[in-house]
Amino acid sequence: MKRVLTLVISVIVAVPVVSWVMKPKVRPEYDEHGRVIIEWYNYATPEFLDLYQKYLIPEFERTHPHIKIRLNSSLGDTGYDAKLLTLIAGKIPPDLVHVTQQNFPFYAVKDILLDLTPLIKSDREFHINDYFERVLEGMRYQGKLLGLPSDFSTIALVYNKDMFDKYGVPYPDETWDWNKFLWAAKKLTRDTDGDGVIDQFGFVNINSYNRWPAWVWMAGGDILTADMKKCLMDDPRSIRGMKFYVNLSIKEHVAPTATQTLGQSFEEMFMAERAAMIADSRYAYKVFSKGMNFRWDVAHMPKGPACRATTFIWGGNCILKSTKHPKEAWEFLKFLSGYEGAILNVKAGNAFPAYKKVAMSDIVLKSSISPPNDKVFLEAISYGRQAPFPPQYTEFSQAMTKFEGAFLGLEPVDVVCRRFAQEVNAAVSGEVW
Amino acid sequence: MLLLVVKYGEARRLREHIGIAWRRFEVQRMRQRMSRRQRAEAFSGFLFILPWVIGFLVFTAGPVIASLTLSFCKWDILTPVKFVGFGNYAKMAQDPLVRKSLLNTLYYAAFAIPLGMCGALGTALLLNQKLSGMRLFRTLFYVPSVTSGVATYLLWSWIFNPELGLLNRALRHQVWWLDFSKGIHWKIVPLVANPPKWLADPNWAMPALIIMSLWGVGGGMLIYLAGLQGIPEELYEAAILDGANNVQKFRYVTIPMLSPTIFFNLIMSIIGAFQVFGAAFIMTGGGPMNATLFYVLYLFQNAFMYFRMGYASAMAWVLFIIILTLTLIQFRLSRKWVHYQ
Amino acid sequence: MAIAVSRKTRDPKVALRRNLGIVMTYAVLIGLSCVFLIPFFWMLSTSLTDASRVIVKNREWIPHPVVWSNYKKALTVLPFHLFLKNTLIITICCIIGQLLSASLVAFGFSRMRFPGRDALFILVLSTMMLPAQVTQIPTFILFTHLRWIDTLKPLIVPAFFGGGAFFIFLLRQFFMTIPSELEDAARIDGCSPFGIYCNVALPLSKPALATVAVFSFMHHWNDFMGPLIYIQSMENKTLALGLNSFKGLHGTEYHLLMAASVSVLLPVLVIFFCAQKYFVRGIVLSGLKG
Repeated sequence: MKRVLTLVISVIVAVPVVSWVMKPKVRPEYDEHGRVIIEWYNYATPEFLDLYQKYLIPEFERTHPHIKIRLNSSLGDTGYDAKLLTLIAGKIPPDLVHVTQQNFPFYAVKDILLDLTPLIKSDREFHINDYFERVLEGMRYQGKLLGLPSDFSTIALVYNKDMFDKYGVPYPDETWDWNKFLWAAKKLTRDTDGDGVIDQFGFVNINSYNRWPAWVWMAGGDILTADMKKCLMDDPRSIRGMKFYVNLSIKEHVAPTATQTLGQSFEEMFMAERAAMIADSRYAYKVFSKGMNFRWDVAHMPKGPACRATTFIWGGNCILKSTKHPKEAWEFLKFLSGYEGAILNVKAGNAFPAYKKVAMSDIVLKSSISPPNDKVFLEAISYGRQAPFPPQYTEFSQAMTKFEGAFLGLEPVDVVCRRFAQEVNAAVSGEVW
Repeated sequence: MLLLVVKYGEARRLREHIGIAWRRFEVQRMRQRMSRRQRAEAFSGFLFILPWVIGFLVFTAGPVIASLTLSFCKWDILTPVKFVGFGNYAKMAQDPLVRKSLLNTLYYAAFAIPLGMCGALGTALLLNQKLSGMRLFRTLFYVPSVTSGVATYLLWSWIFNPELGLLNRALRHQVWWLDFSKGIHWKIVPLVANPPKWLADPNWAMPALIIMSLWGVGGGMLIYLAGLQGIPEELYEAAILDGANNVQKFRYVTIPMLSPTIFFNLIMSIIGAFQVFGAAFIMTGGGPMNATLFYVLYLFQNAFMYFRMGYASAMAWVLFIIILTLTLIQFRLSRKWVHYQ
Repeated sequence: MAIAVSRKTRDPKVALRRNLGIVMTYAVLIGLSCVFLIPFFWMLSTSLTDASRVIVKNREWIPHPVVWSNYKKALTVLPFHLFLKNTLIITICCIIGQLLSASLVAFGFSRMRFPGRDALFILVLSTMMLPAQVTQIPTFILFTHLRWIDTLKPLIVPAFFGGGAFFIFLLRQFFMTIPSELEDAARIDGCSPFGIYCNVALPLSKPALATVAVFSFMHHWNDFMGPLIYIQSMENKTLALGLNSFKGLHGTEYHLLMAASVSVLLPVLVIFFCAQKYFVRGIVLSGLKG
């Protein structure tokens, strides 16, 4: 009898516990008003989240009453990609995903993004010319357009006018080539307190893959061939470009090495007047708006031996192939990259919106933070290129770590470039793993 | 009349047979009755270990089989599973990072294990004396190994900071040094003029992690202390009577009596060295230039950064085989030098 | 025996050597203690330093001024109260789960007889050899299907199913030392096996249970890899993950970083100093019987 009682009690206790444990997350497709629910997974930091909820979503839902947007934000967390993967694995994928040029290759090669070409063809209201083609390039992969950019910037030379005046160096202009650039940087690199340690650098360079390819292109080289079948970093021109770039910090000492930054970020160094020039994007304005106590301006990157070149940094949105409502998702995507999305990006101070008309308007180019030559960023689009990536993206990014040795000055540049090319060639000749 | 007699004979034989069968059945039931209590106990016993059995099936056995299967497949969550046979293992043989991570792990093990064990044994010997305050010192030495975790890694990252950290500050400390140029006079020089950049330098990152591991000798020290205190005094006295000095006492009494403990510590250290993850992940992220890319860290990257689930499972199985082999080798070798009571 | 002792102390040369040995021992021990404890002082010193003084080379050991507000700032810049809540939930639930589960299973293995008992126990021990990575990935996928990712459930539920081979082993060794007369007496009184477990085994093994609780606390409080795999949102993070995020977001603000680290270490140190003997016993039990 006691046994039966204990059995009954344990069942009574177990049932709610097990049901709590087993409760799955419910994901409705239609809300109570019969509207289609579109889920947008984004990186939103709290300030962006505020703008989305107060401005963007209500505006979209007003003009599209049959669609409801549900936000799934990672709140600026570092586990963005991991969370997305687990959402997909848990069979509750979002419809739209916010990407940047950093993680876009990863999703592009995995073939989970919807090709927008048929949607664009059948949509009369959408004009592809509303966007800069070179920026769109970044979201093209194997002939398909896998998303629409929402914001972008090129990289240009931002310089401290006061420091240039102080040392009598003429401002950068279109005639600047590498020699002039190096000469100016040398003149601006000083040890101001005489303790043998450089306090002020002529130039600050950021060693990421969305920046240094510009120097390789300027020397006439490239990273990959157009068909992604061969790595060109062992080409003498590529090596020359890379060498010049790396030597800025290792040999010429006009740019700081990793330890010489003393823990400051590159924008912080520029703002603290520890660097006279920085090759940066318009995204940095957000940091700059915190207070620049000197006159500054923007100029084109110096011309390399072969040409002028620069890279792009961008953010955009893609639709996942698994979406059940591609048409509604497309409506929202257009909205995000269109006029209203552009205005939101301007409000948030997010570099340039991808929408041409707003990007070239005075709201952007003559904003309170804009220096006199703000339009240089837009002019740079004509010689800007997107950094390429092959389908074997994992091995490619692993091989990329080889450059650490060059940036730290521990290994000669040509050796590193050749090793990189070797590894990438081995990777692209095999299958995607 | 004859039929009746025959029938009666048959009936009796039948009854005999039934009787025999019934008796056999009764004996069997008696035997079963005796083991029914045993069966009840066996049933209760199973109930007691049921939580473990369920846990084992769901969280151990199932995943082990699944991971073995997965190691023969290619899967990245986003696309369907694809069977590739030994493809993952073949790729592991060619992957330069697998080689590098194994070498890194072996480099770490080759230094951290002996140094750690000697350190633990040394401090245990020091503390094994009948002096006052030993318990306090024992506690002080043990505290660092209790605090292991993210906070400790962050602390040591800060200690190893090339410009501002404690270690380099101590190394750059000014000392009096004899200068032999232009006659003999004292000079103030830093102890080490150009101290290494530790976690920022590919050649010094691993030594830095090894140094950090020495901070945690407290755990091993406790085990050795307990072992030392279990060595009977008579053995030492017998050795003294035989005229042994301290070194010989150590070699011929302490070590053999301590050998099971040493053996246990060795196995645990090997298993531990092959599973170093947190320190590398938090302090260096595997760098610089993959100098601190431990095997388990690379496995983690493959599983949760590149989402190559099949490949990572293959790596896990290779790890298992390596650990198993090393442990079995140690067990084999232990017959020669481990002395059980 | 007595002769040997008095002979030793009468000889002044031996006495001197012995006293020198004692002095040397204390010197080495004090020196080593300093080396072992200096990192803690360094951590404390940095945590109380002003932001502007942290990046100064050859900064003084005792900061002027002592900035206590670093702690408040460090613990509010990220939601440490949430991290603490999550870590407490996980730790307490796991301690309860492991105590209940491991003691039940250990009792089964030590006091009950059933076919295959010893073979199964060897199986339990062999799971200690299995590297965690072999089961991690399929377990992760299992939890993805259950949609438990980004909740605390994957970190709590397994603790209720066996509690870990190490604790089962520890408790079984302990239960085997309980004299069987007590068990027989209880059985004669009509106690069921579960009753024996509750009324005889558990009360007698309080020290071993305390050891299990303390070790479980340490393991789950400091656990990093488990939460790293399963938890993604900021509000579900544990202290360990929170510290890691801190490093990612404010890693160059060393004074705040150290303040946060000290705060996370403090409970561990407190528990340690209160429950020292259980630590020592636990380590010894595991080491010697192994």
